Amino acid sequence: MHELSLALDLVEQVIEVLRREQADRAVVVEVWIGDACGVDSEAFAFAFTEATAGTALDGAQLRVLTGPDHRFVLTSIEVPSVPD
Amino acid sequence: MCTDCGCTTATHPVFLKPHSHTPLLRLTLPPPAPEVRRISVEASIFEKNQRKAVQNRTWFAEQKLLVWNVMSSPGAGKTTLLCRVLPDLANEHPLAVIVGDQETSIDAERLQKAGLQSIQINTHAACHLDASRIAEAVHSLPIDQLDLLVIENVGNLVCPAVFDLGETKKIALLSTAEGEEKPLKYPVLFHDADLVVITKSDLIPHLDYAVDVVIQNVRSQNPTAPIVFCSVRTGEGLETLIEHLQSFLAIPENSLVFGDPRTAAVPAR
Repeated sequence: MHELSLALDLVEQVIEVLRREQADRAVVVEVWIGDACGVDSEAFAFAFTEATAGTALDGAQLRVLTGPDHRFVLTSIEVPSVPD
Repeated sequence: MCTDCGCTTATHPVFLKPHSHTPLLRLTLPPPAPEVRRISVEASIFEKNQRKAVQNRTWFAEQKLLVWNVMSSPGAGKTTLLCRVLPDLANEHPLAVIVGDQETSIDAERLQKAGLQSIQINTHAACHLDASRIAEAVHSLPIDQLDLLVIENVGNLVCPAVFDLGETKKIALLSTAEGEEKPLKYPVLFHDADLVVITKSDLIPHLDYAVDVVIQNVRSQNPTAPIVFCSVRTGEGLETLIEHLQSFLAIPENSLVFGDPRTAAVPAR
């Protein structure tokens, strides 16, 4: 139920990284959703599409890693190596 | 004759003439991916709430304020239990309650009728309280006069478990009417609890309820938290519960725990 607000937090976080790295957009966003972190991967994927629309993450692929822990982490992003 | 298409061994005349090596059926491959640069980040997505929660925790510690986060599903009896046990503690330890619900101030009014200082937060669309909400709400309380702040979270077994508020202790309630399996179905809340209170114990004889099974289910998620069965209606177990709560009030200041496992990043793979 809280996936959308977390997806919005993620968008903010990624935009901060893009600014720092002087990149225009992200093409891949990789997250770790530990199976005990209280975030549902499917709901998060849906919320991600909604939350990224019209942002620098629009159309980015969400790659989800998981494991038996509590962590909910933005592990990495991929950006075009040559700016558009 | 060539090695590209196996025609070296073919004897059909077509292979003896120059010929195309384009396969008749081409596998359709996606266009080559654009060149990308991978940026490692390794930052918790809970970070925004977490940063605020750590600020809260630090500030609570500076104010010598203990904070309990009380969580359960709706209807487990959080408000009823707090109205019954907190006045006993309030005699010695000035306290206030922040209560979260989607709508209405029914709970805050009930707590006030029980003689407790309380304020209501309405979360509207949100399913949980977060650290920012608490940081805003505490400013309408006379924190310097309080020993204890009790946060009665929105009734929900899922979301409140995920959002650290900066509390000192997490207290999980589970009513007997909800059955024995909730700790398995909603493990995070029970895993993180410092105390598990099984409410409405007076209903046990009327329900098909296995006390040993619920204990086993809580223990499978949480091997150490005390489990207390109680009933506000009959008073059973309330003394034991109050003893446990008093032991939480006796926490030496320097044992306040900072940080949260959820802030830890994933180790490099």
